[in-house]
Amino acid sequence: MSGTSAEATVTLHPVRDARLVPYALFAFGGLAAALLTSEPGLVALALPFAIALALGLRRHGPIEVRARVELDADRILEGDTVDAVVTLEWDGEFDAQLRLHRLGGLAHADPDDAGTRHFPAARGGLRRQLRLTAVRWGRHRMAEVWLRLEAPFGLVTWTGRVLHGPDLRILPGREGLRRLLDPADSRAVWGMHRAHTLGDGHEFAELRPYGPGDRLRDLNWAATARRGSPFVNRYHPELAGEVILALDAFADGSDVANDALSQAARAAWALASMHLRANDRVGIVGFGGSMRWLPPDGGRRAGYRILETLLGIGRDAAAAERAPGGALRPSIPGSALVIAMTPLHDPATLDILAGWRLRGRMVSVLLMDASGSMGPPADRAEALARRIWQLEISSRVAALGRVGIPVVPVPTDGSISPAITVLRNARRAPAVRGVR
Amino acid sequence: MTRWLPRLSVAFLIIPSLIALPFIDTESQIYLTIAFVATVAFAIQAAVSEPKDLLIATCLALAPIVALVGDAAPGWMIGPLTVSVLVGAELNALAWASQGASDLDDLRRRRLEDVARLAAVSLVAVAMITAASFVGGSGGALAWTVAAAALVGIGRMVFRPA
Repeated sequence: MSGTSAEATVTLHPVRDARLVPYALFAFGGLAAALLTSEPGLVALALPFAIALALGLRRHGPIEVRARVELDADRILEGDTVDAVVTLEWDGEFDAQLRLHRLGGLAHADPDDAGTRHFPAARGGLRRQLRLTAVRWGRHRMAEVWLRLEAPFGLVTWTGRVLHGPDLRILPGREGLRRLLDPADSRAVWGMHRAHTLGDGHEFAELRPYGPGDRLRDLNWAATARRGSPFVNRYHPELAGEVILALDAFADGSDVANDALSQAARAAWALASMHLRANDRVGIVGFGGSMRWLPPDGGRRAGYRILETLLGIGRDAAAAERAPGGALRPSIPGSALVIAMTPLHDPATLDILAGWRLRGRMVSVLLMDASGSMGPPADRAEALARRIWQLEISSRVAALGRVGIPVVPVPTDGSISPAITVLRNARRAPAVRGVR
Repeated sequence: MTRWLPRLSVAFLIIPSLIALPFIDTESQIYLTIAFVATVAFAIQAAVSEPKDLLIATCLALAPIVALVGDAAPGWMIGPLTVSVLVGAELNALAWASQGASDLDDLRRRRLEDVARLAAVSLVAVAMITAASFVGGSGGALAWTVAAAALVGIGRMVFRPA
């Protein structure tokens, strides 16, 4: 794993302290008055402030700071740690205060490292080692480095952002999956999904009387013996399909929304990896806070593209940005299965999913429920508010059900394997089949 | 531990007024008593509030000391009382910088030592001026010379190119 770094040279300009103006006023005013009146008392009055002013302004020009941040990895998994080294150099001796702001998907592994760190009488610069934990997937710019320098007895300070850290890719955590969802219609390419049509394959479909052109190895000897005439087995071929992963990236900055988005990302990456291994073509669409569309494709390169798109969605959500393309209308293939991962927090999600369904797309929903991260309600009013919110989510689930979109909740621990099993069964149920 | 810093700074700002008031003529005392009350209020406000403004508090704290100049009061008091105001202003700034901290970190402890050094240097300087003006007898000429030299020195320090 290769590291990454960022460096910059910035000039910090002095900012006057609250003491500077009164000290200058009393020093210059007192000395000028003493000059006019030749009064020793006025000299005694002005002299302490004059001394403070002279000591405080020994250094008052701009300071050039050379800054560098090094990370020992440029991509890590959610939950992993990364070591960072912040190096700052300047000329002279200053009391320095260092703060890392906007860690960008990272958190201090040691809580004592958070906040402002003081470095008294740092001559020539400082070097600080940190250990950071990846807490939110996405492609992030790691941390702003803020520095404040104060000279001893200083009446001016130098404060500013000296560096924006390097780019860091935090990959979604692994989610194990053992089963796949079947696409709406299979492609004419060998894969893992049982086709609706009959042909060469391994999964038994039916028996029929032997006809010209049937292979002898397909003869069902037991049926032939019972019926007295030759019968052959028919099979479903196993073909590849197209899967579109739809990620609801609506995030309001709350912990619940962020947790739901992290769950969704882990689920999306697990599904994408599994379906790509099954020779399926996988595409991804992000909607809500970020509108991104990657048409379905297969192979290893598609995996990288999906990951890049996924990280981009994560970065947009973390930065609360709305990426360009808010009115984007992805051209989802008719044969594709759309698997939407959403907490259903945004009512606009219902319109988008129902729109796809009404245009004939096969849509399934994994409902990401991160309410477990909220903890117990603080009072009765909050408990009531949560119940009302749950009812609202339930009504949205029912609305999706009415247009033929099965919704399966993902457990609060984030494991999606049970949900995929339930979703497979739901999609194979007659009621679901009827809406195709 | 840092909670005593604002109290100490307010104390250093108002003690000179308390000491100077009895030596001031009764006509001015009423105005300076009002200034003293205002000093307390502005010193507290400067220690805890944002945006920080020390100008009014220090102006008001210096008012009774200025009233001592040329009066019948002992002239040797002016220097130490001014140093007390300076220390009060320094502690005020330090109190504000230490807000929210439960303990004095290395940086603040160092600044506290700097305040003590500054107070010591200032006391020595004003003591020398006061002693020279008393001993030499030509206090006016000495004051003029020191003021002129200090003005030139400070002016060069402040207005030199960065």
